[in-house]
Amino acid sequence: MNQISTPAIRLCVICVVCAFLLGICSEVTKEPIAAQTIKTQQEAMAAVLPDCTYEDIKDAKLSDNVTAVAKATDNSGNAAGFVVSCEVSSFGGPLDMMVGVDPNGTITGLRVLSHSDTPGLGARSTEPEFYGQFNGMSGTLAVDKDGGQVKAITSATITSRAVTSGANAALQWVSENGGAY
Amino acid sequence: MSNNLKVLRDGIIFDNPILIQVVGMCATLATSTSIINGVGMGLSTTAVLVGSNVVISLLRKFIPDTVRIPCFIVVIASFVTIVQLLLQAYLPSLNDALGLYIPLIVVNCIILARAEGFASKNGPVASFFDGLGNGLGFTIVLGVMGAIREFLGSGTFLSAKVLPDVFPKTLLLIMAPGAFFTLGILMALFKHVIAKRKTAE
Amino acid sequence: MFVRLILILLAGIFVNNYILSQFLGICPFLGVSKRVETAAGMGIAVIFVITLACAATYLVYNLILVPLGLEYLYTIAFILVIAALVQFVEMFIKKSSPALYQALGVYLPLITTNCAVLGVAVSNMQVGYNFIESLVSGIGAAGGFTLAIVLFAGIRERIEFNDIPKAFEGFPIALIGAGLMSVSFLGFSGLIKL
Repeated sequence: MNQISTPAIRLCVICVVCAFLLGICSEVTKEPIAAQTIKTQQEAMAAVLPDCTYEDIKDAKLSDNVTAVAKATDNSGNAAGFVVSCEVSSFGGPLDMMVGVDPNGTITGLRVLSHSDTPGLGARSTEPEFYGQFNGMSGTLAVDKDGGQVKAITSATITSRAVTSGANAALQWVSENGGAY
Repeated sequence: MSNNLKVLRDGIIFDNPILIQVVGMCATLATSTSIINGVGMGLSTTAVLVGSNVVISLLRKFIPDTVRIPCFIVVIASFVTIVQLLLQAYLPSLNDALGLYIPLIVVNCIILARAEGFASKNGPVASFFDGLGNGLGFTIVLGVMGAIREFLGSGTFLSAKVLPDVFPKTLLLIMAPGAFFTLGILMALFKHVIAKRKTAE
Repeated sequence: MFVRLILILLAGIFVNNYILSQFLGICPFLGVSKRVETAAGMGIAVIFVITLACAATYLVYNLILVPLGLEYLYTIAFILVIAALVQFVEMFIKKSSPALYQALGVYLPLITTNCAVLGVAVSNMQVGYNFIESLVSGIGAAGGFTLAIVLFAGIRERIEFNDIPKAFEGFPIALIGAGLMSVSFLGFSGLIKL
């Protein structure tokens, strides 16, 4: 009896103590973690549509590629457009990006937030040289190989196409739903 | 005290966890794409290793022999979770870069091996130095691998550009196969140097 | 739906091969790959355990941890579930099929510290697969592991009879071989879109 119960009880004691300590640790770090998440999100939004306050549209109509939308208001209280978060499938897997669109349907900024593409090729979608060209574009976009205006990254056409399709999804969302908010 | 220093030195050089004991390979290969990632992973592992070594050494009389492995795992997993929460809260960019490999510190064989092989038989002070030595040995190799792969693969050192664009970058090195090649060559080099030293003596 | 499952399976085996592109399960990959038979035994044991572990950790996470708001305990919970599962599988096989136990016995305890098991469980949770998808991705990951370790053992059996520089004997040459295999698996990248 003792041979089974003593180890079992001691193992339980260790488990309970550990879980208790972790509970405390999780309570302590909960606030900084939440603050960090908001800060990262705000920073990304500020990069694609600067000098605004952002408010998530909770009941936004989402599609396969559009994962979240926030409404931006500039400092004098006017509607400045939308920040659309997109997830598209690229060469190495899902690619997360954020697109700022003003009320006229023009892109104010675009950033690739995370991707799993090849370093040095598809990964160059995170460089200003590539994402900068989207500023000021509107309508329906396509990469140069497909006769469009987006200059694709050398030997990373799939990634370039994926980012472009994300930009299109964002522009389409704004032209279809933008007026409602 | 000199004994503790010897334990520390053995951990870093003669019993180097990666190059000699060949444990903890998954994290080594996966996170050594740059110096920052490699050293970040190394230091996270060191923190867990030192913490779990000390706690397990303190509890070594309390932990029953029959269920020691589950007990070790619970202690280790607790430390990993603490490190993970702290990284999320204060170093989110490192947490994103290391991703899945943080929870996987639990199954890093280094930690269980030191718990079983050293901490469960020695006092807390010696265990502390053993953990520190092994952790630093691990960190140094990760840092060196990170430096080699970052320099040749992306032409940067600590994210600062050092190779002008005219030099071709060996992209293969920051991709998966590069990890195997770099570690294989580094290990051969280390073996060669140690063997040479032994024949010299 | 069905197509998606097939894609998840193939992606696990070839494109995101857990050993050669994600570096999970390297310890058994280097440790028990000296002979093809032992490698195959390990592979089968891993397929068995990973599939069960995916199911068990999915249930523990979604039925126990999430309702209680204890998501941050997932590392401890998963590793305990896996350790218990391995023990249980070992006892079960010992009782029910001594022949299988003879074949797999030695590898089973080693699997607890095979990071591929925990890795697949955690990554399923992070990607947000449903129950069936988790199972399929587990089978795919384990299939990829088995494929890689059996192929690698074949290579190592040959390497043994070759004349290689002294410093490269043992692990270094094995790592170089694994690197070359990984290069060839790079050819699969981008083939499957999920």
